[in-house]
Amino acid sequence: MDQRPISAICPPEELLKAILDRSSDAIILLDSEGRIREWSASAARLWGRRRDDVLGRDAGSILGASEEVVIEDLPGGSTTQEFQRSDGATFRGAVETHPLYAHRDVVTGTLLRVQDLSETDRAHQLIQDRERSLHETLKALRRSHESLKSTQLQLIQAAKLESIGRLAAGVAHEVKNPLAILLTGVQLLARRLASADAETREVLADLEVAVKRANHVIRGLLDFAAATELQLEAIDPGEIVKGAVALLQHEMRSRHVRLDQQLQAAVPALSLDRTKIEQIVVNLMINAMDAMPEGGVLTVRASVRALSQSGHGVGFRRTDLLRVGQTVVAIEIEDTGTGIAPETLARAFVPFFTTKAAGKGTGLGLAVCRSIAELHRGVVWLENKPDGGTRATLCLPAGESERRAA
Amino acid sequence: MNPHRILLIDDEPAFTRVMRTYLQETGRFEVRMENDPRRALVAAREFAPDLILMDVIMPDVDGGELASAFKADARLSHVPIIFLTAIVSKEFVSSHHDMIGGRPFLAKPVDAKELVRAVDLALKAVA
Repeated sequence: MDQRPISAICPPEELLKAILDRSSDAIILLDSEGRIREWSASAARLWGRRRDDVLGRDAGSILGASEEVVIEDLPGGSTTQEFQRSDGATFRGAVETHPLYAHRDVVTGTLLRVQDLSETDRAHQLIQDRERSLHETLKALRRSHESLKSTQLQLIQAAKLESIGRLAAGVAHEVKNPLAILLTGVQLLARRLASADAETREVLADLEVAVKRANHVIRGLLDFAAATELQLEAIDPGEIVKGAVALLQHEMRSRHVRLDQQLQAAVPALSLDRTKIEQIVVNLMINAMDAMPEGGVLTVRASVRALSQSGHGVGFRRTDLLRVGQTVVAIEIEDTGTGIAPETLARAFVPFFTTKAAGKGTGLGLAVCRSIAELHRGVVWLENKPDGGTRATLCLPAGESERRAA
Repeated sequence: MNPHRILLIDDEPAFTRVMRTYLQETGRFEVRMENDPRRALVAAREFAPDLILMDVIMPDVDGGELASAFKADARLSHVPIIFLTAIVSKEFVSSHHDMIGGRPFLAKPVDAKELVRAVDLALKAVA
């Protein structure tokens, strides 16, 4: 921009020129044919063309506008356009057009005022870049927050389980010793009273069963407590399913349960505690068999998929362990039984809750399953299938465990 | 045939009483019980057992320490020991082939018939 002082006593034309050259916006005057009649210093700077080189030339070829500059009928009309400089670079400009009239309705030329928007655009771009980077930072922060929250929950859970474990081990020791006295005592009496009346022998037999039942509960409690430490190894979950199936093959046959095994081939190996995951699968399979006293079909499925929000029945309380959309290995066990009553479903994972006959279940099976699943950062849940029967799903994070194994 | 001598060490008197009665009633064993593990070594030297049945978790001296003391004693080092414990489950013991640290283990509460079987097996091994 021309910075020389303006002389107030110069001829009007020169004064006008001086004023035009001091405008930061480009001022361009066109004649009625669209030829350039005046070209301010800012226009020269913006387009990189000297005044002498453009005067009298067609504006269309000089301005390099992306579209034809529309001369608005109304004075003061403004649009945004892209222009090309003499060196080929482009810039955006806000264009104001003012038709010049000789007299009514006769346009003799046009005054163009073009404001260079390059700086504004650059600032805008900078803001956008900053916003994007802020957004990315925020996303990363959220991710690490989620991960921290999940770790914290896991630690709390582990601490809880550890204290339960200590408690259980203590209780087990204190209860098993008196049980040992009772069992040997009952067996001693049974031997001494081998020729006693039937009723006495029956009472003694019942006592022995009762002691063994109490011991079974304690064992369940120890199992529950033992679910605090994992012996991890890289293993194909499908192999674990096959192992569980092999264990229960005989049981299924004798209970007239037909097996439908659907194991996807491309299930990735995960870092798992083989024994404990097998314990979950066996447990869920036994529950499925128990749900079909007359026999039926037991479906076992293993597949890789993205975790969906829908269909999470009871048991999916720790949603923060897995995210929707996360890749998981799902092991599903379905029965063709009568399904689970809603009030039972709601309490299925509560320790010591059982619907099985006295002595048949400790009420710890599903609680143990949940603890083990959560230690693997997975989840296990139960739901009634729309077409009848129950589906138990164990979801194990695919990426998570792999990362941990690395 | 002389009955086999079994030393039964457990801090629970009711347990040792009932177990001693059970084993002695088979007519094949003579059982001495010791409820104070601190006196167990002296009792073992006096009694000179053919086999020791012993609890693991006891006050003052635990089963592991006692086993080391017996092993260090020339007259007792060859005596087989079967541990009885309430701290592990039957399944845990089974999955470890009834052996922990090279010693046979039985989980409490132990089925008396199983105990007699384990005792017979251990005695046969050193006979």
